[in-house]
Amino acid sequence: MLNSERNRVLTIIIAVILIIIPLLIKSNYYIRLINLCGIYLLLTVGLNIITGYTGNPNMAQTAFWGIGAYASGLLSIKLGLPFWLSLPLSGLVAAMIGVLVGIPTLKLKVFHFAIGTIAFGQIIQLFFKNLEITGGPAGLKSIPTPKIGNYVFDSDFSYYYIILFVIFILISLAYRLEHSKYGRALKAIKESELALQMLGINVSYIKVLAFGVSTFYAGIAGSLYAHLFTYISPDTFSFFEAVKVLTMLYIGQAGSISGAIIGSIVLTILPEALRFSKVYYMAIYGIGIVIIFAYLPNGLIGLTRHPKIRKYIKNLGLR
Amino acid sequence: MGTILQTTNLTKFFGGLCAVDGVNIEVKEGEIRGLIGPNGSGKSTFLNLICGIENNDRGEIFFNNQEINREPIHNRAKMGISRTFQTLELFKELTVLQNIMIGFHNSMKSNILGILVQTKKALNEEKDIYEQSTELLKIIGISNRANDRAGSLSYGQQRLLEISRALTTKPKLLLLDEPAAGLNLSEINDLVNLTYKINNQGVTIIIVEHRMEMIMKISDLITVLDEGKKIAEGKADDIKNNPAVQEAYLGKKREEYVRN
Repeated sequence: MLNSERNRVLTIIIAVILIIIPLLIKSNYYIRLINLCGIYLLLTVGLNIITGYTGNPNMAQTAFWGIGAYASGLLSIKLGLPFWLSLPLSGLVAAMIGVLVGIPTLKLKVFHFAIGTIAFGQIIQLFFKNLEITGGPAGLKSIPTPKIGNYVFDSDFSYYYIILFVIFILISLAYRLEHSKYGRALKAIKESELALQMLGINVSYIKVLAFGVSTFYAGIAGSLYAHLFTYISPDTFSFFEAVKVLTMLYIGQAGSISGAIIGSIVLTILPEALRFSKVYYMAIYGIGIVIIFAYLPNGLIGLTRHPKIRKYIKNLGLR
Repeated sequence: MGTILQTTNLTKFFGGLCAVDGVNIEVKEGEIRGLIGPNGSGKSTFLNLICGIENNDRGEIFFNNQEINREPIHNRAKMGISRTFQTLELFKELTVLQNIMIGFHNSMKSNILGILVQTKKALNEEKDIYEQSTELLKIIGISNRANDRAGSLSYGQQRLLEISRALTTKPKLLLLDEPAAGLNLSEINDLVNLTYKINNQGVTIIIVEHRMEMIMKISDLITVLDEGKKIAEGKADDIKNNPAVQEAYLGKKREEYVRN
């Protein structure tokens, strides 16, 4: 088979598998897990756009996740907007706030940028916990489920397709961004900001642009989360979660879309797979992460670069 | 032939140290201007001030009769100033081709929306830049390394890549900061030919170098700095025989030390 033909067949097989997953899974628990996986996937792919390419660690990605979730919930509850409107709108709200936050913070050096975003995350979480409109510490409930006409997406099995569709679109966009002039320039930031400026490129502008796109993804993920769970608590959008998403990115491979995908899937599924050992699961999880960071600086995707593994893949005829 | 670059009383302090001290320079369009001086004389700082990496404390810089004191680096680059670095500033982990393609960034006019939606304009531009970059690599003779890590090229090739990348923005003024550093004699010869070629395309060049034979041969005029001040300026022969220049490089004559 030709390479391109093989790729097309593989794509079709993967597409079919993805489409029939809800029919194969019987348990509510597992389909909910898969949906959650999809949401984390969006967060991580979004994070990659600022942190993966430029190396500026955005510790506020989950704060924007929260902004998207609350925005979407409130737009539906207070203004009665349908999900199909509040979804893109919450993405935009998160993006606009992202740009405002990004403009001052991206002027800082990497370390201070991290601190700045941590601070922003804490402030936002305080807002969620204390404002009346966000429901305070009790959170926001009775968020409406999406519907088309009379059909309501009130089960995880049907909601799965909404998430799948959104993921498909947003991954395509991420791919297009990566292979554009912006993707190239963003990747070059880690190498030499000075050379970029000498080539006439406004580095601050593209950093803020990347940050805005990244928070857009977080906002979308927030909206999907809010209308799936129909209840959101301010405790969800924490620094702890921000570290989790960052870890997902680095486990997979910071700087690549496939890395973000693999990392988010592995780190959502793994803790559940380790549940059999209640006592040791945290230890195994923690040690696993340390081992990957120590021995695989390029993440799991970096494994495919290893000469022995490349040979194996070649022999399988997949290259 | 107008004046492309003019500085009046250009001065830069680093704390108490005056790195560039009241330098007045006028470079005409189409010139190749050599800039020499002993180590620490302020040559690199001077180049940094011209392209905006450092901001001057006193004086003015005029590019094409426009004052550019307050302009950020990327604006000066867009106006037509380009620069190569003594310590190469290549994107080492990116491919050779990507290094060149980034140079064409500003000539691509589609915005983020166009790229995400993949308008025909965006797709055509991407294809166009890919072809232009590939063509450029062919011209400079490293197209066989197009998809290799830029850091994997030989030093001479990296220098060549850096200079070519600086040309992608179609500059009017090119600042070369010690381009011959680390090159062997035959590579220096290629560099000299390349410099002439670039100059013939209408690019004004200011070149900072320590290789005297090269600078003397290639420059229309030479400016000499010492301890931040301009101490001489003229054609190669005048500079060679200028006692102030000799003193700056070699120190005072023995008799003077004895007398003092």
